[in-house]
Amino acid sequence: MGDKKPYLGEFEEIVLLAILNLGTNAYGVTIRQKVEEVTGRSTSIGAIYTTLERLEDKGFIKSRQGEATPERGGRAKRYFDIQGAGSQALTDAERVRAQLRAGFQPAGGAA
Amino acid sequence: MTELRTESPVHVHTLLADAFAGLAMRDTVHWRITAARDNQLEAVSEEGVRVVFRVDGFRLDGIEKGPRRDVLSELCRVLYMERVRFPLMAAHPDGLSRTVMLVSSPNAVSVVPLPPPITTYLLWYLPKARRETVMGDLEEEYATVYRAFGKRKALLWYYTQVLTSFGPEVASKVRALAKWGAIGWVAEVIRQIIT
Repeated sequence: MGDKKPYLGEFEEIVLLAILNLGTNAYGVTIRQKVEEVTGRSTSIGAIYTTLERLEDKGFIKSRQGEATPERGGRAKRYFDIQGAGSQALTDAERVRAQLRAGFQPAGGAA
Repeated sequence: MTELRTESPVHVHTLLADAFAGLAMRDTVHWRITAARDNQLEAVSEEGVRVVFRVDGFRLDGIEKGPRRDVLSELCRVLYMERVRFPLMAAHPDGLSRTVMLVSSPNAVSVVPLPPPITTYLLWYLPKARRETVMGDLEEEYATVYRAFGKRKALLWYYTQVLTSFGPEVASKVRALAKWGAIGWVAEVIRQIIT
């Protein structure tokens, strides 16, 4: 049996892309807002953190403690950075999608 | 001495942030409150450092033992958790304090809205590793929604977020109950408290 790569779910991919997009400012609030903005779906902070923890367990992202601000009641932020494995997982997902899309004609598209 | 003009009701966090503007607050020291009296709050840190915060009219003296930013950060947290909304004076053993004088004024009010405390206490049921971050994120966004859409929408948003934050936790407990019965449920609760 070959190496089994960690599976990247749809929501996990969206969260991973949001982190990539936000760069150094990726923490719970900004990630949630980005996901909502891009998908147009209402997303809970609980769902975001469950996904972030899963991504961290898979080694796709790494978290670090940030600064505490008064608006947060003095609580520290937790920033997330994408790791090499995370970038690779995104590349793989994109490649699979491109392969599957080859020859696909969208409904109503030009022949 | 820094003088800040404000009016009541004002949130202490904002005043502290203004007073210590530019100060990096990266670390958090964990304190345990050992006594709370009418005008005094006593706390002890994990390292055994004891601190006393005392109320004295409109004066607030920053206290620190170790880097100032840690204490400031923690002071914000303690003030929030205790719902303290009055200025404090803290005893300072090392002479490193910064003094902030609060003066009542009809102008320049700055208020940070706080989410309802009862709902916030529910979040203590979240896993320890996630709890503080989630509470901080929700509080930050609550203030943003409050300023943009008002209290009613902010409350609705906050309640929804708190309740949906429990979805994954409840699901894991239901799974444990289905698999192992009551023992599984208790074990899952204990696991969450520890982790």
